[in-house]
Amino acid sequence: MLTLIKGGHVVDPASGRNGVGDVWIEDGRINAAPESREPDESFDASGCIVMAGAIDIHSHIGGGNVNTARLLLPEYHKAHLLRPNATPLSNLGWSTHQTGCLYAQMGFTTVVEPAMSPANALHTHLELADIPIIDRGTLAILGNDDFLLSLIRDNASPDMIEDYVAWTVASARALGVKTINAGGSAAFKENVRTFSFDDEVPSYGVSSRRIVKTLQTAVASLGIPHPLHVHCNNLGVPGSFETAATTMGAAEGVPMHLAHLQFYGYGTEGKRRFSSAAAQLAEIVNASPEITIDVGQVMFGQTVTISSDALRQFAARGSARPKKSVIYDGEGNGGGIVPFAYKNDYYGSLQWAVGLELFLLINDPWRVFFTTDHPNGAPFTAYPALFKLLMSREARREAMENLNPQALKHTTLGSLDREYSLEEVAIMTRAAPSKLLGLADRGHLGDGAVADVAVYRRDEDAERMFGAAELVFKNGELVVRQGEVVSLRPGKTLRVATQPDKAIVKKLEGYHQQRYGLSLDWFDFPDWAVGRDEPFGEVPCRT
Amino acid sequence: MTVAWIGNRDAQVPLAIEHATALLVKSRCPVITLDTDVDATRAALALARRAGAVCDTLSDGVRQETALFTSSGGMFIAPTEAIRRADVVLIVGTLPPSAMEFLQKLAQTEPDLAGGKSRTVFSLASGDLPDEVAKVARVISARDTSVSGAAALLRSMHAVRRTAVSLEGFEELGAALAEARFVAIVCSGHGCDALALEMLQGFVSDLNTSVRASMVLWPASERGWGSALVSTWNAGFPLPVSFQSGVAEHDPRRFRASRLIEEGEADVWLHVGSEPVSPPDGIELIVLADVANPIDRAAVTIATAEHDSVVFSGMAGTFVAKAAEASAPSAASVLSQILEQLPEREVAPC
Repeated sequence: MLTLIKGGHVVDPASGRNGVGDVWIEDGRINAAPESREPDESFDASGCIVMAGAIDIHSHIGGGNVNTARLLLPEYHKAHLLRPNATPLSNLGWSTHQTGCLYAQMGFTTVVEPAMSPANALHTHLELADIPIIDRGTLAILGNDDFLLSLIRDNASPDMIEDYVAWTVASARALGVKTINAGGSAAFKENVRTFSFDDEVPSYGVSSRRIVKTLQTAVASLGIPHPLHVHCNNLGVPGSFETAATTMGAAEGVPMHLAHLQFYGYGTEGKRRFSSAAAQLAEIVNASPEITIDVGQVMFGQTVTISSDALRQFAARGSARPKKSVIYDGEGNGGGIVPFAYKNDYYGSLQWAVGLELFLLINDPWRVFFTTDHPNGAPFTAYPALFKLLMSREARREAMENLNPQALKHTTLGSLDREYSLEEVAIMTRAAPSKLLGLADRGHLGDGAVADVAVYRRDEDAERMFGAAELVFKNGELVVRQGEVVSLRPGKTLRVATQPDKAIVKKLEGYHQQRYGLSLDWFDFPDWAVGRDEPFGEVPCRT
Repeated sequence: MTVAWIGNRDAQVPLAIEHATALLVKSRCPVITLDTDVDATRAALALARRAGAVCDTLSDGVRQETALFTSSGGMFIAPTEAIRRADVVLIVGTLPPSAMEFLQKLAQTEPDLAGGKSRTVFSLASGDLPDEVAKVARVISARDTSVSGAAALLRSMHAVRRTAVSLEGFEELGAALAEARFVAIVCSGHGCDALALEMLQGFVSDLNTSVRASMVLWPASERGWGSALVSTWNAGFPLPVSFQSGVAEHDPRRFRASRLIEEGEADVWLHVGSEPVSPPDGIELIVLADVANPIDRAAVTIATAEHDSVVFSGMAGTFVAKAAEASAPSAASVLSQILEQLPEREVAPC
């Protein structure tokens, strides 16, 4: 099948295309314009913007904690009430089915779930496999697990630690490694209530810094394309910018990705001792080429916070709206679910502004990624509204009129005139994620790329334009037309092909028998368990 | 070997599937009850979506456990983590047979992540415990008080509030709690009602003001809890979930399968699982279960078996894969065949 998308404005930063042209698809891949062949089907894209399918690098779409959030809040989900459109979280993408459809309708074709507990990997993959249309990936969490902390405490060799990381990534079918409040959850189990970068986990004598550095080194040495994904300590705490700054300083030239930096962009100025420190953080990011970040933008309204940072979520229980929450002590991180409503009061206004400041003050769109940390800052369905805010200073000005003026005084947002161009949006949501995750086959429209294509009807209102794609192709198949899903195809979950050493498997088998009295098989699973044909796609390690 | 029956008569599986499909097509209120593996739950939900049916569990315990999450949430710990970390364990209420191996592990091992402290096990209204556990457990007696009443006494006495009656043996528990490094409350919807579970969560919350504590909530039915979790991600709601209106809806009372069946609202009941079931008058019962004989008074019985499958494990606290081979069809495959024969109602998710 030869398909032609004809006469659209093609925006493809990876190939330098930014003008009217055609895109050809054959057998699920982007093709060069064929000589003297007529297409089997043709789509008129005149008046449209044509981009590669978007990639979301950090969105909590599946796994134990996400499902617990669903379990906790059935009354906030669409169709429970007689007026579903007025029901909080009705737009959240609550079921796996809705998640795939809503992402596809916006032109997103690959999404990464950033927090998979290795002990709960099968559950995560069962959920991800039930998300239709889009491809998925997921990051394995390390840094609070007894096995790793014991290795570090006992000064295990870098080779042994790499073997363990490689085994975890392979057995959990992960796309990379994330560490979440490294050491913090382990310390919380020992009744520690605050934990910073240079604090040590009781019983191990290992600091958060040492855990992060150990994992960063192992990930880089293994050639896992995505650098260590770091959720820093002290999330959401006034003054937490210092924690983020210290963590970035510890990167020392080796790639490191900091997740949802907005939640660390807080200083302690003003009578409420809660101010924006986004400018300081942006300055550090701009000066540190090894650092990439995603924002975790806050948007207003009801949401539910889902995090494997059990220590932070325990502290946040008092702010739960409605008043219920779940805290879970699992092997390694565990997690916490706390529903929350962002209001346009002082604190909410400041958080909203900090996120936008980071977007606008970090110069290089290849190193700042478009996220709301779904659903922690806002549901991913808020993306179109966020695109509008980034692309229009007038839209920001209008929005600020409804926010707390005292909060905005503690930010630089009012002085920022930058407007994102379509090309910058395409970099941030397509080309850069492809590079960051090592997904060379997508995020661009070059020859041979997977034919994930999003076509948007050009509109001065970016929210309207990005809210409902005119056409979306996944692997060359038309899945969305005029904002409506027209085909439900199964996607794949992308995993990195690490090769663990056999010796570590033997060591882990002994560990699990001794510590749990259970076989290692309990913590691993065969591919058939996911219950879908060919559920995984492989991503090579860097050589 | 016969693997399907229409009434009491032997039947080929395709014919039994055809008969089951015909019953669902003419039904005005079909109900599907589940206690099964992941694939069969996925297939049952797809079938319910197409047939406009209600899906639910028959386990009262799973209902209590679900209600704990939907009403208030709480603090929980993985059983494996409790084995390694808990130096004080309090077992409250009776636990299902599937929990006995876990209780034995708690009784027979010492925590290796408790800073060298040994484990002390207490029990409260826990009925007959395995010998290994009964031998070491210090019994807190609530006499004739209900489990929820005992949980309330526990919380009140710990808070040094005045109570009309008291728990015998609480002093030793109180002393252990004061010195505890990590407290694990072990309970289940099997032996605790919703009020008891919520009260115990309040107790856990109280404890966490000074020490670390959490709850091992052992599922009353491992497969039933697994089905509830699959429904939660697949339909967006825990069980019960109804597709009668064309979209998924959750209402624990309105869509409770046992109520729909007992009060005569349901006219066709499809049961997937191993619990014994018996239909009241006026209901056509279809059973998919690992059986050698037809179910008494069932309209259709199809013998199914677990092949390679994924089920919820109480011990792992998550889903685990179980490799198996069988000659009888899997419940998932039978449900999928029924789905294929049903007329289109709306697009089924993949």
